[in-house]
Amino acid sequence: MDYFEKILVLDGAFGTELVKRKAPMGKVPEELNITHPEIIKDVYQSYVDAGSDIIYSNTFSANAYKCKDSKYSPTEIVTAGIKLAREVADPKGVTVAMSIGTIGDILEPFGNLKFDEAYEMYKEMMTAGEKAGAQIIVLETQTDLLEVKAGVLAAKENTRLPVFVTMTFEKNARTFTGTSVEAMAVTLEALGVDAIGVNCSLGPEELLPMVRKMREYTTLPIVVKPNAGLPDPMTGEYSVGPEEFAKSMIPFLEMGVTFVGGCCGTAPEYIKELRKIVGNYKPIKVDNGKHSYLCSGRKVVDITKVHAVGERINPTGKKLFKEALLNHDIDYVKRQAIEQIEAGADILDVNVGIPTIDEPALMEEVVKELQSIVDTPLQIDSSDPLAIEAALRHYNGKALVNSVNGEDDVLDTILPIAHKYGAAVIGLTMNKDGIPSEYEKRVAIAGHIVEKCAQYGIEPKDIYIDCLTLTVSVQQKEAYETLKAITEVKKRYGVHTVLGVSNISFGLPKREFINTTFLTLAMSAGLDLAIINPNNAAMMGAIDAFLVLSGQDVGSTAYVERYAAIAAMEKEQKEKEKALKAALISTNSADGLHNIDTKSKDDANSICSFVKKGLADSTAGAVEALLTTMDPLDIVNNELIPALDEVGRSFEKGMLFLPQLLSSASAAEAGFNVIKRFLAKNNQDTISKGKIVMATVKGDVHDIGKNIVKTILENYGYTVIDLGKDVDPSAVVAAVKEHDVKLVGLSALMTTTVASMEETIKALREAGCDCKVMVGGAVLTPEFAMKIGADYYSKDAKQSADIANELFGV
Amino acid sequence: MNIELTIDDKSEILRYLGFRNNELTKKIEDDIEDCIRITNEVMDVRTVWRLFDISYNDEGTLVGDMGVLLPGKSLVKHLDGTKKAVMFGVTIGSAFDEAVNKLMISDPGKGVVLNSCGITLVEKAADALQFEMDESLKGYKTGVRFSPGYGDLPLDCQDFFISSIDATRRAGIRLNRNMLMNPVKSVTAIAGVYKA
Repeated sequence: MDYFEKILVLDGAFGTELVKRKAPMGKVPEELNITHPEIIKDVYQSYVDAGSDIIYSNTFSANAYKCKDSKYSPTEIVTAGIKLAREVADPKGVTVAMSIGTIGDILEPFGNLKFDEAYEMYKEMMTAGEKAGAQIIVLETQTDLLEVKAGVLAAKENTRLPVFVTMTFEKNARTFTGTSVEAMAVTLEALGVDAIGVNCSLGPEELLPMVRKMREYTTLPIVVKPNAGLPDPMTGEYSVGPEEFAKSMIPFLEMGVTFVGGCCGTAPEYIKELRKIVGNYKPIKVDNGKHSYLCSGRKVVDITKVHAVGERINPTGKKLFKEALLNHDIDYVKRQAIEQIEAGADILDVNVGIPTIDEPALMEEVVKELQSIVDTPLQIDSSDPLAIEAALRHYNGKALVNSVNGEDDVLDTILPIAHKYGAAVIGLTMNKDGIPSEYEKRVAIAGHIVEKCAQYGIEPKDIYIDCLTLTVSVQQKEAYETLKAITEVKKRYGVHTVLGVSNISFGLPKREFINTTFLTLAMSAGLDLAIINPNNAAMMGAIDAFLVLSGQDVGSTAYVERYAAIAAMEKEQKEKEKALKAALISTNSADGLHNIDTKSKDDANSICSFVKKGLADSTAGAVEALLTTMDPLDIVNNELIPALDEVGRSFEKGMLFLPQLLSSASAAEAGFNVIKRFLAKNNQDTISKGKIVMATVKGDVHDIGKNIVKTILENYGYTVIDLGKDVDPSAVVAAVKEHDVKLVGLSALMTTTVASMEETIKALREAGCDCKVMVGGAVLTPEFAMKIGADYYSKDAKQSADIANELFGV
Repeated sequence: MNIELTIDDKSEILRYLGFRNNELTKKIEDDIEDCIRITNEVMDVRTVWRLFDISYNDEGTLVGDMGVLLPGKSLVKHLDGTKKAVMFGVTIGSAFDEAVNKLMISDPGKGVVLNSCGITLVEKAADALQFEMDESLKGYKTGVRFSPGYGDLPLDCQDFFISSIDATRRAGIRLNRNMLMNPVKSVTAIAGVYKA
């Protein structure tokens, strides 16, 4: 159907109409569809009579979660609601849209609701709705874009109905969960939704700027269903009357939206007034040009200038990264993400591919965890179509897929997946014959990729061609071929470009010179996305400087903002170092020593003192220095561990507190990391005193306590396999068996979840796991810990380390 | 609501961290200052409240026209016979939770300080809301607040607290299936209304 032909009037509030008719409102008001059909029909009729073109069915909360205590199933309630609506609507040629609200539970990782569970609940409602005669599906009053995605996929995979989505925004143009207007628009248009818009929360006046913004980011028809102004906090009455409401809807009609109606506080009289004026206006279709947007649920990156893609989340050639993935250390990956964003990355490449690992499962988990703490869009990097699909399905936003090439079997596998989930895609200019030397041939492969993308419905603006970097010390002429290809593919096909640059300098000394210069040339040739290590200041500097010189950083504002502070900090740092050096020389020469004495525990500059003060950089520096003269294991056992012990004792005595304990642990960790890198470089096995599985038990989503314990244990040299929160007993058993673990730590915050703790311990015993279990958490006592079958009760993080030390005989 | 953390809240922030007149290191001092800044930057304080008639029976306290039961003796004792009470919800928003989660990864020592700033702020916001309600209740004022999980009032009542004041739609406070609130730094409570 063409939604730009004429403006269509929706209905108004439903709940208040039920109250007016004195309907008995239970926990699930939709039960009235079955118990009091005459009242429901009467409300529908009142909106049909008022002039609605589309009425919403009374099915908003008829999902399995909210109906769990109901006598009726969601299918029964939905079927009744839709049938009644059709009975009223059909004679007048009015369309019935099926209204679907939020599930009511919170999606993981913040809550317990799994994406797939949300999908199933929506699916159940939608298939029943379609069967009963619904003509449109409307997901409304939504606040979490990821939950919306579950609903959209459920609709598209199981029904043939058009899908509308309206979300509820607050005054800051975000939903309560942080979804922004722009991110909603970009994500849902890419997902193939038929119309988007806003409903509830605010009145027409407050929603106007948000709808304006939405129009900038979408070509879709727009739905506007505001409240009748704002409620009075004392009486709950809404402030705007029917005529005034209709009048304040005019700016939306002028703007060219397609669907208008009302939410809380509105009634049939409001719709009648609205009906009177809509005939004077027509929907307007907007053309938003060639913008390519990538986004997370909260942040949109508009690819109109050069952006840095962080390449560090990738295990290739990184022993520690591989080990972290094998040990399920997702925090390690998160740390890499935070570090790169702080260094200036606008997009993060995510690659978790190592042999023997279940890549789709791990990819899904990493994507879920990353998007819970960062708002940077992700680039999904894998050669496994299943891993790509797992990532895209659970990704909140519009992602970039890395990558396809000129081979048809790859294109025919990956492109349908990218299109289905609305992702942009990277195309490498290579095929089974390898990378052509001449730029014309690379451009030709790009042409084939663009053609194939068109077949699958992917527009050129969402194609990122990688013209590929060859090593200049081996193939010198080819460096310029890459640059020429970048310029040509953009000109010829209207695509965007992407390039990983660091391969250019293999085999040459001082690689940074070559890399930064090549990057600068590539940007000048038209590069849009540079895949780099953002922690490399020279590479980031090249991008920032290019943006100034090419006039894209207007007024050099971003450059100054970034570098003025850094320059000042560097100066301060230098002065500090100078002062420190002077002080050292004077103290050391008094002792007749000329190096930093890292052994003397009382020395202000010993490792021990750095750890005690929580100084990570100083600890790392001191360990680095000591590695030239001392065995790595001796440093751990004679320096780092005793320092942590001392901090722990002070903590027990109440002389130090949690923040200090944790800062000291972080400082020790910085020292451990130096040693781990040293060992990895010298091909020695990394140090681990033993493996410990940690989990916050099923049902519990508060994991701050578990994370504190984990930090401390890791810094005593243990390998912690962190299973996260809300962990099923079977997952704990599986991890213990897989990693042959002798100690398990379980955490539970609430009395209600201690039962899951007991269940987990039982499951471990029943599975015959030969391991000890320590438990902790606010509501536990030593007596209770023993009662539920634990081997140890740990009152705090320090004690958990003592238990581990006792058990592993350290 | 116009509210923010200031350096005057330091002692309260330290109290939640377990400090008692201990000497502070430079790092803690800096962290507290920076965490106060972060808190003020990311907080999104929202409040919602409603006045209810209440009555009592052998099982506990009855709220509103429908007489919904809040079971247990503790609340009955706490309300001390008043016939009116306010139920309210306060949150400092989900962006704050994300900031804590992020900091717990990159700098756990500072993460727990930020966490403590959040507790301080949500309690401060609840105090401010009670002050606002007292103003609106002209001649009356609200007593000490009481939340699900206190005394013998079961945590399961949280469901009713949230729905009775429409806290999900109006303040963004949601419940998971174990009756835990999201955003984490949220407070729901009931307080008796008494002559000022």
